[in-house]
Amino acid sequence: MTVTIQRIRVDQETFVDEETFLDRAQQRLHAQPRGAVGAVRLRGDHDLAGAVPDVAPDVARPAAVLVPVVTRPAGVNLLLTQRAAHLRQHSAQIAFPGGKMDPEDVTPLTTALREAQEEIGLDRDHVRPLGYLDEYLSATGYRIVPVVAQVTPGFTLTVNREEVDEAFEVPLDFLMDAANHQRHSREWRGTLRHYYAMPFGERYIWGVTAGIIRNLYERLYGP
Amino acid sequence: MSGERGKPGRTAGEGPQAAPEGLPAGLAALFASAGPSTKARPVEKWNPPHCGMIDMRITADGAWHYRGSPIGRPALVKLFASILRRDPEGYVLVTPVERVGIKVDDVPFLAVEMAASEEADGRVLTFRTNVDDIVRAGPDHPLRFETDAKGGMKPYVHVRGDLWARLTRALALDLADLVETRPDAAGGEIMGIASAGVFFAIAAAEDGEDGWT
Repeated sequence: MTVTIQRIRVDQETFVDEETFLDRAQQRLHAQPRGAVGAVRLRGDHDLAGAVPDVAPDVARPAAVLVPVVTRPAGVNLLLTQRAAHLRQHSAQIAFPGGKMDPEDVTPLTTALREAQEEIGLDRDHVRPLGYLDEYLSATGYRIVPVVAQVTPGFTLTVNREEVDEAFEVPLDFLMDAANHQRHSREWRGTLRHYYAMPFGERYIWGVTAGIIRNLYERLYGP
Repeated sequence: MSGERGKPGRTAGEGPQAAPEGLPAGLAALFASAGPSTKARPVEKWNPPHCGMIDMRITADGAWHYRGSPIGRPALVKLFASILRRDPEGYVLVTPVERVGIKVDDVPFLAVEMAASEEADGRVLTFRTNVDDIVRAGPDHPLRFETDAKGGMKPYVHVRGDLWARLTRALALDLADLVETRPDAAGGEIMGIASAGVFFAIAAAEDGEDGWT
């Protein structure tokens, strides 16, 4: 980006540009959801601890999230939601649009698109699926398929206040810079849990969402 | 472009911030977590003509947006923060030769970390902002309190000029633990927070002490 203010240098090269992102997404994401077959590498809350998953993958409930990447002329951003403060589970947390698979959902993509429509009113005409990240096994018993998609600008959002307080964008320039990935731990149900956190302003991105973002980083921008 | 990712733009800093010697642990940790700062420019001395608004906006969550897209580089945000000033007509980015208006939804900064230390003049609260300014609440950097739409208390700390930082929700809760009451001139009691020998009164919220959210 370039801002024209003299005497002060405000040219800044962005390292996540649209062309590179789309190119890498095409090459490095899974073309199909992983997990249907045997030996998959399951990502999850157990990951950083080097521990075994506390939920057996075969009893975990299937779920899917949309990882929506908005390609704007001024930058490439991830679209995230802040869950409603009144929800019982994960209230006020930062999350991807998504949820558990309904019986009538044919594929995880169906779930991800449906949930994005329901939660933030994202019209699927603006959504172009690019591929899949590794399945993520959450400590709360879901196996989550992350569907990465390009979202083209020009969309309008209608936030469903029952589920979501706000939708907002965070630049991939920030999220794909490992210097912004903090590792934390805290004790939960008697064991020490490790997780990632990526605070952006007051948006405290952590847990499952940060874990999926970390996976995106490792696939697309990691060393 | 090759497979190498671009270099993070950490060029704006002027080196790590030197922490004073012999700090208590909490304060030392606060300095340790601050990245290189971009020293504020002498913006108060510059008086170039106002050249209109640019499409830049700081939202209430502390994110800076340019042309409708958030800025992802902390170094760039710090650079802009170092030339920010609040004029009677609004917030401006100012250089020796020009001055452009930007939009700020609430206040430009967020206080993201707090340390309490005991010093000669009693307890001192020190804050780190999202752009790594470190300010010591007291006579030079007052605290002020506002009430949000739901009746919750929103504390702010002065940074420089007429620029303030709002405390994150998490910090506001920590601060709530430090509220004390003192007798006021009318013989009643007044709630507030003490730092560096100054007592910052909280205007009584209508619904009393349930005001913290």
